[in-house]
Amino acid sequence: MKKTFVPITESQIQTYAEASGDHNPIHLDAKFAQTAGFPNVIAHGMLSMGLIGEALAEEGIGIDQMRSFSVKFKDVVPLGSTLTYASTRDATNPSKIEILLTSEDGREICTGTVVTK
Amino acid sequence: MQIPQRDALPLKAAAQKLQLSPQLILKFQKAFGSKESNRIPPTFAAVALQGVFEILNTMKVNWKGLLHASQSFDYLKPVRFNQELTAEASLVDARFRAGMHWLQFEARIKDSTSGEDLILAKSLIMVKAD
Repeated sequence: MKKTFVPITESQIQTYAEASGDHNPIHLDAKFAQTAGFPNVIAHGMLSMGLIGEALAEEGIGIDQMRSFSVKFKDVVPLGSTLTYASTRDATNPSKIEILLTSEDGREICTGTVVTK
Repeated sequence: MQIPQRDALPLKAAAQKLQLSPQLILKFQKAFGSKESNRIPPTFAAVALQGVFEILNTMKVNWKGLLHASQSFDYLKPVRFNQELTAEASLVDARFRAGMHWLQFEARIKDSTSGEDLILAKSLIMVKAD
């Protein structure tokens, strides 16, 4: 399955910070993010993982169907990024799903694996 | 940045109580652009990372140099709406390699009443050396 999300917004990042309690200023304060070498704030890695969770739910795989869910964060997600999710079921092990999240410029943002029950 | 000695590990954060309330789930769903408010997102357990932040603050990390390298969740038992949960986070390993501190955290999310483990979260955090 493939799914392209709407571009990441400042409001979305702020809402995620409020939900998760992750108020690292690199996600919320543009000036702070600039001192860290970014042009603007960057999204939480866990927001990207959450979007993957959302796409998996659309495939019928929710928390109750999961044994494990793991990701590696490979690159940052600048404000305004458009992310695309792709999943592939392992041919030899149908309970294993490989995940790739990419940005509009082709960068790998996350790779991951879900193992279902 | 103050890295604890290896023999001081695991370094535990204070246990954190939380309720898996519909309001909490709604905030996550809003951030994810979901229209399904009756679905518990598999990453809701990110709230258990509060203890990780507590430990990172104790270590006086430079937040500008911090990167979340990987995250995993093992779902051991089902969770349900309005369940009272307790999250226990700890720093279990700290290494220095290639100019970075590699900090391995674990957080256990338990049912507050039974004490049963529900979710095991593992977070690898990299922090650039000062």
